[in-house]
Amino acid sequence: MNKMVTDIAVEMPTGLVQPEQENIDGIEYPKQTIGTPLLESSKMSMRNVDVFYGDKQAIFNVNVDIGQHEVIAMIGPSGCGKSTFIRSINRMNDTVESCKVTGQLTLDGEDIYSTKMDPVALRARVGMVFQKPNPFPKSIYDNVAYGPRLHGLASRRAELDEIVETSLTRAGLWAEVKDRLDQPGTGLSGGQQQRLCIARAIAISPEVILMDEPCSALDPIATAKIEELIAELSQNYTIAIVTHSMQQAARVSHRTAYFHLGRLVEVNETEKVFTAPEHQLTEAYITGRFG
Amino acid sequence: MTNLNKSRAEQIQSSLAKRYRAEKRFQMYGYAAIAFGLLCVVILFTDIVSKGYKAFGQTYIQLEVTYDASTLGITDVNDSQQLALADFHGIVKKALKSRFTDVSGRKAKRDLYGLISNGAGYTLRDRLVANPELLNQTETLWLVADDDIDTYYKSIGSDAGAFTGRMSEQRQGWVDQLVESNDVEMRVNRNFFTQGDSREPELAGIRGAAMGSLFTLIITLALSFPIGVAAAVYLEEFAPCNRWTDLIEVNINNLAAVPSIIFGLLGLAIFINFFHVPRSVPVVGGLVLTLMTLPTIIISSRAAIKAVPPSIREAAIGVGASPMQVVLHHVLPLAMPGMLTGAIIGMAQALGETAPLLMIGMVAFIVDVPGGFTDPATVLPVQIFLWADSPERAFVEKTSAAIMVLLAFLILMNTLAVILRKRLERRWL
Amino acid sequence: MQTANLLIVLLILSAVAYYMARGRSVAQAQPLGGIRHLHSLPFFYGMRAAIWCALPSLLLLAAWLLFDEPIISSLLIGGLPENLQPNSAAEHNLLLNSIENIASGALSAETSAPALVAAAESLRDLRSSGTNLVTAAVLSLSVLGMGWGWVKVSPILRARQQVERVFRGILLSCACVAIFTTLGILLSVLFESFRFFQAVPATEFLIGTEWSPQMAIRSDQVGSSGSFGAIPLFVGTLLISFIAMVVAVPVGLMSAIYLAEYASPRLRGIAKPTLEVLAGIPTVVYGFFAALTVAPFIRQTGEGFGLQVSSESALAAGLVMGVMIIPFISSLADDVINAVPQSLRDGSLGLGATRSETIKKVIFPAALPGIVGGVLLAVSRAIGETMIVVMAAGLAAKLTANPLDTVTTVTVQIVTLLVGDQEFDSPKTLAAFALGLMLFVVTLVLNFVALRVVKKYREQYD
Ligand SMILES: Nc1ncnc2c1ncn2[C@@H]1O[C@H](COP(=O)(O)OP(=O)(O)OP(=O)(O)O)[C@@H](O)[C@H]1O
Ligand SMILES: [Mg+2]
Repeated sequence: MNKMVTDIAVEMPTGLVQPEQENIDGIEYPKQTIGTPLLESSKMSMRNVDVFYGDKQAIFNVNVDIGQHEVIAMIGPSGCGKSTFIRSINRMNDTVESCKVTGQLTLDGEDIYSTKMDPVALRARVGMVFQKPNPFPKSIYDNVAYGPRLHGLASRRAELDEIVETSLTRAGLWAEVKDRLDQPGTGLSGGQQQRLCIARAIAISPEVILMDEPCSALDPIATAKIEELIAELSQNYTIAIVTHSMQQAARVSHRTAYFHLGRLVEVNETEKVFTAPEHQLTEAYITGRFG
Repeated sequence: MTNLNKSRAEQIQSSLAKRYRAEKRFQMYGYAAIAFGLLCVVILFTDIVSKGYKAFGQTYIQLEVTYDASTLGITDVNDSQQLALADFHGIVKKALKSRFTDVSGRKAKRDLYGLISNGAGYTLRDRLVANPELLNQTETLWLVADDDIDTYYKSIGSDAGAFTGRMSEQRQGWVDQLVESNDVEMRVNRNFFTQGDSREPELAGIRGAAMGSLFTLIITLALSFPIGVAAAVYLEEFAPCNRWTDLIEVNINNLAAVPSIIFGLLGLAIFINFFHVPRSVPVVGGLVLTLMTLPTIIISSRAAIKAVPPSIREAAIGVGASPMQVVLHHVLPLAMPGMLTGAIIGMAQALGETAPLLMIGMVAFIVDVPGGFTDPATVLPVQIFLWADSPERAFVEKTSAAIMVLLAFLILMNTLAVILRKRLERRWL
Repeated sequence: MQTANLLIVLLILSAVAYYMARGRSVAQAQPLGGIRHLHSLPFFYGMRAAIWCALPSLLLLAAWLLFDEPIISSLLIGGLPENLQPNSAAEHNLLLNSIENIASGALSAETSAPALVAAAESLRDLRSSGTNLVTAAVLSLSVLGMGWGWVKVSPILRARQQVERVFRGILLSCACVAIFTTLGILLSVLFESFRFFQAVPATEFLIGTEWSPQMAIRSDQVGSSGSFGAIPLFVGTLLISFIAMVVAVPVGLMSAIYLAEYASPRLRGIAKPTLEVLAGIPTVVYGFFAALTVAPFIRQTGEGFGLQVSSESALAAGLVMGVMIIPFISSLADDVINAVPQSLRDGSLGLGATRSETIKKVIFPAALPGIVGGVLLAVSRAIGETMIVVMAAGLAAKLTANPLDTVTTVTVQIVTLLVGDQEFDSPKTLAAFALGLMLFVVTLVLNFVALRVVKKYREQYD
């Protein structure tokens, strides 16, 4: 587990004193994110991130770190900018013409938005799983082999076979599909499709996996399977997961970040967030007063 | 793990340059495709405009004409019988002879008389009828030049050099002489807009074809719009879900893609051969084009009806309106702009159509401007086809000009459709 | 009475019928205590009477307008003496023509057979009496209908239901016009083709390689029967369509892809409507362009390379046809590409694919069925295109695959065989209908398949 920076006073005031608040549109936000957003050593770090869609600002001054092999959950009411934030981590927002990201985002100390950083190579390192399962209309095998083929990760067929098998195995799908690898991925059930998408993402061995509500289209049993899978994957991967289910966040994540209308209100150890939230907005959300 | 990541990253990095080159190449293809398409538009329009714009001007030659009664062979200006037979071209010939006195030999004379168009005689007759006191008087007049002269005069000073295809040295000399004395002039070509077809390029106009197109389109619109809207209303609002409805639907979609010439065959076999409707008349043309544009209109009308929110129907039914009242009071008024847009686009399609009209004989050479739905007529695109086939060089210019007129009408109609559609969009948002 | 006048009178009568029936229904409602005691609104009573007044008489009038000529001519011919009875359809038409000419005075009555002169007399009689008869019938029918509509008005009459049933019936018959059009096409080409295949065996038509339909003047001349092997036409049609597709498919597809996936909104805003202009240009304009600009250009260029180029080369017609079809393909492809869900693009980009890789490996395969459907529709268009080939391709039926040579197509032959004066029974003109039948069947099958493919594809992503 990563050590949290609870005693670096430069960035964040500590102690139990109520931090400074600011009132925006009638809502009291903390001036700086409450809890432990920053880590001593981190895989990724985000500083002063603002995201705009045209003139409209969707993310306001977010500061947060993600540690190596950590699972961080992002929660918050609908439209608060969770997807926007997670998509700016691997520059998926580049495909939205009006979208502009400012601030410092780094992966292993490398600036994600510098001109030297290639978005294609970046996305190979920071993979993504989407809300709705989106297998390509190709065979199961080709779906998983898609990434490795793109990036030239396998020089021989046998190597590719191996990658496909290990990825599917890790995604917990191998046993179910090993006899029908040549059948279309779109023919699988929803839960299987989502696991196929996870297999597809880990086939290129990303360092970080971003998941945007990966279970929202699935039934409880399929959801449970994916959650198990996330727990397993967290041994080898760094994972950021957006979810609407607080139970899910509680089950899979180490830390939880609460967003509210584009602002990061509180980041704390998951247990803490769900038992003793520090900010009243978080508390209101957890106790179901809005969301 | 970190090592593994490092090597993966390197692997990925190594092929990146190549992948980006492929990306660039692909974008280049796309760019080239767009550029090619746009270039085609530009070339097409420049080609036609550069060939055709000169047709809006016409060369006139100034001559001193004497309305000599004996040459004309008349005694009484008010006798229409005499006027009809009078030799007006004779006085033009005389005028030319007195202008170029040194011309001798039959061929040379024929060349000389050919400087002025045959149509000049009609101009003189009209003048004389309007001013009977001109008989045996002399006046200086601008007369329409022959098409050879026109072509030659227009091409003087062009990059390619003057076009002397049908101009002997001698004729060129005469024209040069006339130019020298300021007796040649370029004027607006009124014939082009006021006359019907003619074998003489300088007398040929598009009025006849334009009127033919108008009559044909009126018939087409009057039939295809109500029928198309009714069919669309039936299919969208009343049709039960059964085989017959499916058949109608599939049928309409297929019919929309049947080659237009097939509709011509239908018109020929049914209207002309079976019902013995006369050939070459706007009524038949309109009927054939109705059948041809009907699928287009039905499809777009259905789209317009589909766009009417179901909540409006429910609201009307909720207050006890019958299905017919729902359609007449709510659906049709709301869908009307969309239907009109579809109708205009269908009419534009009909206006440009040629092949089926060839089949039903609207391809005859017709001089008179049609005055009604059952007069023999041709239409603009067929006129273009006929002129394009004519050997005279002057017709190339006329054809291009007719194309410009046709395109102008089409652009007008499409602009109208776009404006309607814009208004419609605003209303729904 | 003129048809137009008759129509106006009918209109007036129906209006009268409407107001009378409406007034009567209101009057009947009065003692009952207002119009809510009527079964239907007064409007429907009025409409019902108007329909009774107009509809039957209009139907009668339409029937007469459609069938007057055939009825009169069959009466005329039937009235002729035995020795003048025509033996063939051609003679029949000839006979009718001369009777017509005598009646109109174009043919002098003295020099004609007395039986024909008599027939011309009766033609004139029949025409005028027929018109009078029909006018009278139409008017009395409409007055009768008006009366019926008026008499039947009563508070319990289900006028609304009746009016709405008629309304629906009218709508349905309008929808059926499309069916009748197809039937009409099918019957007319089938019927004439059938006659053609009685004169020329179908096998010769379908597999013969010699096409020269011009009949010899004298029957003892060589090749007097003409030859009707349509293979060269099919090959020519396919050659030109193929050239057109070679131009249109890549250009149309790539420009659609570029506009959908790469272009800035500004470029898209300019390029898309401009490309669509190409679709709105009449084909006769393309024909003119092909014949007068492109063909000479190709010929000159080809000769610059020392090639033998015909002045009516298949290449010129094909190229220009390709340009015409570009917007057709690009707008269809645009629809299809936009129907591919964004989530697939995201999935691919999220794995680190470049845009072109996403397009080539995910979007294109996903859109392929739709694109194939669009291309099939375009092929059917190319095959049926007439004016470009009539103006820019040749008449000589050569069996060649050389794009620089001249070829002829099915549509060109249909036009040449049918335009101008022709008698309607020679195999020459009937051949045009046989070609039309081929064209209709082939394009119908192509369209049918293409539309199904496209529809299936749409449903897949709905
Ligand atoms: N492409 C876009 N263009 C303009 N505004 C956008 C775009 N995408 C998102 N937004 C806006 O940005 C804000 C944040 O949206 P985002 O999708 O990130 O919310 P979210 O937290 O993921 O919500 P949900 O839980 O519903 O997925 C919203 O107000 C949304 O309207
Ligand atoms: Mg979201």
